[in-house]
Amino acid sequence: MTESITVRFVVNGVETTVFADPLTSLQTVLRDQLLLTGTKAGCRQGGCGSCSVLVDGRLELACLRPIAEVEGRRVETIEGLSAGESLHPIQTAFVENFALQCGFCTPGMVMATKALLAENAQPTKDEVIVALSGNICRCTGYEPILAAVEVAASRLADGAQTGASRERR
Amino acid sequence: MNEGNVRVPAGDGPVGASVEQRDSRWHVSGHTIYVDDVILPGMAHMVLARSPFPHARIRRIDLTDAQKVPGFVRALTAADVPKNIYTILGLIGFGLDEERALADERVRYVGEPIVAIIADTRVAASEAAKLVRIDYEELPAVFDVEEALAPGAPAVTEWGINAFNFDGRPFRQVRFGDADAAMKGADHVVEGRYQMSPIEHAPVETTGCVVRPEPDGRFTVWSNTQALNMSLDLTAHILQIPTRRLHFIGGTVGGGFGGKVDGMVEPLATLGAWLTGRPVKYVYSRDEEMIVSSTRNGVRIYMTDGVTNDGLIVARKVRSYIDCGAYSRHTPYAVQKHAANLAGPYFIPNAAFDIYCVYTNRQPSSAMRGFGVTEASFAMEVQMDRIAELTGLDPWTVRFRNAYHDGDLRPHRKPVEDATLIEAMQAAARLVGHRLAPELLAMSSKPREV
Amino acid sequence: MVGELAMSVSRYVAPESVEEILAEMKEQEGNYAFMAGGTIVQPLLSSGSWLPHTVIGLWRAPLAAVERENGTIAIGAGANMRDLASHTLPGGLSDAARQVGAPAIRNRATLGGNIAIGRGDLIVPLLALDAWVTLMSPSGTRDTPISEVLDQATGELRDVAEGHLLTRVLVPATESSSAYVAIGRKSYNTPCVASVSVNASFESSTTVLTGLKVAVHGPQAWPVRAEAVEQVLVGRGLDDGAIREAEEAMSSVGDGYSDSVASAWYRASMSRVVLRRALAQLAKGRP
Repeated sequence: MTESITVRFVVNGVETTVFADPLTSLQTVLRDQLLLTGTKAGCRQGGCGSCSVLVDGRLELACLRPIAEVEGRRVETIEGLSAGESLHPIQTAFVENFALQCGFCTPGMVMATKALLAENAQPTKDEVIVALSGNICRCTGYEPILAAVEVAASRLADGAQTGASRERR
Repeated sequence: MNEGNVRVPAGDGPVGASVEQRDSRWHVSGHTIYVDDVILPGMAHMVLARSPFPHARIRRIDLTDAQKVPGFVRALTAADVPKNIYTILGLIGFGLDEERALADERVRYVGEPIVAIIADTRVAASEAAKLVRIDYEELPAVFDVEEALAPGAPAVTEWGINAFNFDGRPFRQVRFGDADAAMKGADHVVEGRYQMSPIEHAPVETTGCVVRPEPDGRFTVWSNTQALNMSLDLTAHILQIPTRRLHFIGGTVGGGFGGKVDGMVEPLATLGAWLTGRPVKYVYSRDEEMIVSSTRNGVRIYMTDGVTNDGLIVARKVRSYIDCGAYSRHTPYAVQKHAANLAGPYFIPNAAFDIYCVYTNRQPSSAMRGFGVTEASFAMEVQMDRIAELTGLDPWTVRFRNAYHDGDLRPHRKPVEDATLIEAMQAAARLVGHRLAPELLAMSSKPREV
Repeated sequence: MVGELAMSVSRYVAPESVEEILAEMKEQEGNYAFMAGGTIVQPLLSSGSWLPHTVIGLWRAPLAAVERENGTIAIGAGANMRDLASHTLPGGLSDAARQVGAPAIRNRATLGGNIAIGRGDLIVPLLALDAWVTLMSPSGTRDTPISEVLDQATGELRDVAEGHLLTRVLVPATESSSAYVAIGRKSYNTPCVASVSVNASFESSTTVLTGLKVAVHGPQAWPVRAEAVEQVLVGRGLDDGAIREAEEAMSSVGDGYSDSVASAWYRASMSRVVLRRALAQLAKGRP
């Protein structure tokens, strides 16, 4: 059995220390140790996208990164986007545009959208499709999700233009 | 509100208004608790050792190596199951007691559960499951519906015939009028062979449950089943305990589509919690969801229509082979629905349908989105287009002329009520800007003039 | 305490230099596996499907640099698909990298890992570029053509997984025209059914091919150079007739292979389609 190690990293802005087998996936550490179960486990093989998180601002699948490699990194999960009742504009856009049914793929979709809009504030429909191509949804047929991303993009762009900063970025 | 010709009554109610889904906010914020998010102190994990063969006898099970895995808690075999009969339709008096919760003497599909391992962690349970040593005697297997019914085919079922018995016949039979005679008098005969492969629902959330034993002897079960009451009843039945000892909590399902109606995991997980005194989580891996969990049935349909020059179907003969896989589960119900829908929304005065529920050594099939009917619709709508090609009529005309009316009898002798195919097609044509011939615009679903 | 894969992996190290990696390789005497981006290895570890004695993490050592020198581009094996896509690499390499998996995968999957599976999509453009690879072992370093690392006759992958560390891929900084076309069962995030990479040099201001390299994955179960196609086209103008003959020649490269993604027939058919599209792209770019 591999010796467990201490890993220090930041989760949703909070400095965190875990003690785990170095080859435990980030997904398992987030869910089973930190009880941040918003990051889902749909396949544990990198195929479904339901474990999408941001690592140092980049979209990644938590099931594919061993915790040893998370040392010193900045991880953002779905739980970091909202604060109590107040939702991130991307989340609001998803709710208002019925971009979810069972909701299981939704955290991953929202994180993929966040990663996209941080790099490309006005994506074309094709660019949205590519950005979300790693996230599988079995319920919606994807169109409402694409619509929600478009709405979120324009709201975030408006917010940036008018300087409105009440919403989280 | 008026969209084209779709009239929506105005009013104060939710119709026509945009109503937020009641669970959206939790879903988008990652706060919804799905089954795998239930994490309890002292929780153990269940992983199954499953058959690697499509058909085999079990000679010997050796747990010695599995038991040595650090974190191993307990193994369940067939002998541990109080009533080792898993039979979902048995609950409504329709199914056969042919499937086991844990296989004892024979396995009939790749992935059939044999030993349930309970361990401290998912990884330990998985490792121990791999180390269960089972001696098998491989048996010949059959994977094709027609081969399974041919003489000399390997017997999948215990009683030797690879077909479900419907009222004394190895197929569900529908006879209406005289299809043979009418076929002879038809101007054209259109024959088609249609096939649909099994389809896996592949919900993003896999099947699973968590069971916690309670101090008062009850069990709390968090499950993502679509069939909460059936799963509860099935668990009580298999464990031979009164239903009042079970408290099922459900309703949060990460995609079902019919794939989570079989209640496969709750009985074994509850038994595991009972025998260990610990909470037990039993959640399918993605591989298990693909290979083991039920699919939509595959089917092969032979459909022959006798048609007049005017495009009217005067006779339809169908032979369908629905592949239920190793065990029948919900498929006899699929057969019923298939048989009752082979005329579709059309009036067919002479019909002869033979619908088989065939056993093969494949992954058992079960419910999915209109199962039984979807397949019939696919076959018959292609058939309608072929009839149009053959008679030189356009596809709308063929459908309008054959559409059923109120009062028509369907082949299983149910009178048609509230027929609306004609009106729906007229509205659809308007919406897409297709101009229908006056003959078709003049039609309605009112009872035919005698 | 949470243990993910505890059963047989005894040792995990992530050395900070190539020298330390080589030392670890020597000490473990073959009883190790590499993990770079984790897209291939982590799921196997998590499920317990593959539990090597030692896992050597490659992410700390400096293996990701892309350097240009003397007409050669040296691409670190640790460069990920996103890096490769952003560097405007020749021969369709950047195009191919852009199409591997999905964005989250591309942020992690490495060039070295793609080669190490023996069937990676990037091997196709690398073959058409006559790329070389640098292999390091405790006993020395050597550069070798990729066509020798992936045996073109048998599909066997030599040396990359065993006893050697693939550190760099060397490609010519060529100015030739290239086209890369891949088809899957769906548009994105899908295993390849067939893919082709073509590097062509033309007589100036014409469509006459003075040089041509074609690599394909589809007719055979592993990526190969399609010499039969090259022979048909070199010295000719790239017109419709030539493209048709080239498609015919593709049939002699192989009959396709079947797996759960596609049948042999479909692969053979799509191999011709991707070739046609790639050649049409090249012809269109000519004056």
